[in-house]
Amino acid sequence: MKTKLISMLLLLSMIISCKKDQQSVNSKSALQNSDSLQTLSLAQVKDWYGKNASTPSNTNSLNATSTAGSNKTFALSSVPFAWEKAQSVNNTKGNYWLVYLDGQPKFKNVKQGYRKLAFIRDSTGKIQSRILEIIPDAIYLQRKQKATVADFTGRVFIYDQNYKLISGDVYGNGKLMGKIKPKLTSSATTQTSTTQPSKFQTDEVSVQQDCQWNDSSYIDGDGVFTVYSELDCTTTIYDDGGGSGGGGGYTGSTGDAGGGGGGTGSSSSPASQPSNLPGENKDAVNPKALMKCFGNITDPNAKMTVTVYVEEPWPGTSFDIGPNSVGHVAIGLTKSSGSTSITQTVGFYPNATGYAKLNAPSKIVDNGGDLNYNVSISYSVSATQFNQITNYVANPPGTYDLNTFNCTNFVSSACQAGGITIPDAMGVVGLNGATMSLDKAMTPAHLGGSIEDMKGQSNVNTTGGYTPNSSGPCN
Amino acid sequence: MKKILIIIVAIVIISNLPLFNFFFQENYTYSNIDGSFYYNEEGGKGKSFEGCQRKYAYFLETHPDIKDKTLYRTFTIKPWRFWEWYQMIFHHKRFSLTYLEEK
Repeated sequence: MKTKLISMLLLLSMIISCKKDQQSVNSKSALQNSDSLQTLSLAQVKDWYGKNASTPSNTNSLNATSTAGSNKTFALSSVPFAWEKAQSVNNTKGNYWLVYLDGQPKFKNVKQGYRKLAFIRDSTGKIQSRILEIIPDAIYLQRKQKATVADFTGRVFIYDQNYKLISGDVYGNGKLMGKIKPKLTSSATTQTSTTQPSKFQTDEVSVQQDCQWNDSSYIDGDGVFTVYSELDCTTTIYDDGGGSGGGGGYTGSTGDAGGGGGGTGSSSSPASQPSNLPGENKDAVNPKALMKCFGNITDPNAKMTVTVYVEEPWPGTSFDIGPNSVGHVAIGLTKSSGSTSITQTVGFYPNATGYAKLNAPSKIVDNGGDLNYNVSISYSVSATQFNQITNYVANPPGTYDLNTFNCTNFVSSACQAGGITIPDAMGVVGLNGATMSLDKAMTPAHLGGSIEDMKGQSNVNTTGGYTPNSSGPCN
Repeated sequence: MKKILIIIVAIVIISNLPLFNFFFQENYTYSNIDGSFYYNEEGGKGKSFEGCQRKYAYFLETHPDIKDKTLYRTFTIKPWRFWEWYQMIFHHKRFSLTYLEEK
């Protein structure tokens, strides 16, 4: 029994450790090839920094040196960082130190990534600094939420202490798959230069790697427009088919042999919050496009209905949490004239995952056809009221907050915009220790309870069902 | 030792309660082969695999020309997520769908 328990605990600890940061790691970085020779202490680094970063007359000074490709001067001493957060990173030749720098690069017109300052020893034993701009691939960051060395995908730009681009690496899933170098002439921004094919052949397949230097640009963390060249490689495998047919090929990005990289310090670093990418939330709908459809039916003689659908957390009770978790409230809008009818059923959601759902950017989701509601209440409204409500839904508040502005608040506010007051949705959700008062919020449970209390009225449905399908967006 | 075991079991049970679905349950996602249908369960917020099936049935009705009518899951199965064991045991249908990697 005891052995089983210990085994179980070991298994659990392994599971938990899987989630731990893979930060403390070491050497698989762009600086691995740098010339670190021996142990570098923080005191040595501080001493070197004190002498070099604060002496303007020094020719190797970190102050007031011109940034390549621009007239802007760079003064590292003006960029604040916290020594106490300095991290020693081991590599095969010793160690180097990393500190976070303020400032963020702008890549593809979006501020993303982060900066670090590295202190290394070169081959002569001298201390040098390198500025690293680490830009995780936006889609990779969206999916992973956090950049780690093991599977880092993105770019690492390496600058010298004068903020002059020296080199860089392009990583894909933790493997080195391309190189970055400064663009010497800034004539074009997207121009292909030399192709360097290399070929490897076996009896049945041949592998061809094509590498091209492509010019591109971005704005570095110091705000300077930086043009660089990037070596992108593709590998094509030609399968000769062993004598039976043939042809066919597979093309994909390659990982450099022996690569094994990962963004320098790209572990649990303060990577910028992933921004929303086009198509990232495929389920989010454009409320304007949905509401626009109602314009296809003219107002005169049209019949307009607003329905509030409630999926209670624990149907039949006032519990705020139940088998349906926290529950949900959606709003259904229908406009009919003759045989034509348009319905849109939408809900207000947090555009986030995990704890971030407590307070997050909002999104509108199509709730048509799939929301298993318990109770609903419908209102016939005038064209003016209907337009006011659709205007509100088309321009929803930008923030979702589980307590102060959730799906219930949204539906309540939308109806309020058209002069409709929905049944009381406010209820006690907790105790506020700070003010020693009861915390109240609008919740699906309380709204559902209030609607249930109205059972028997013609516009109230307490038998539930599925929401009607939405008509979809109109362009 | 018995106490530790009880604590572990309690953690597993509590973490599987619907209260945590909203925060911790993965937003299970589904798609058809060409991505023209996509569904996100939005953990604990009114959506479900049953709702997804309804929506997909409606989608197929309105898109009769779709040849591959298979619904795929676009999420990977993560058995170590003990807080989703309830879903894996009692709502296992969604996990039996063929996996399709999102592009």
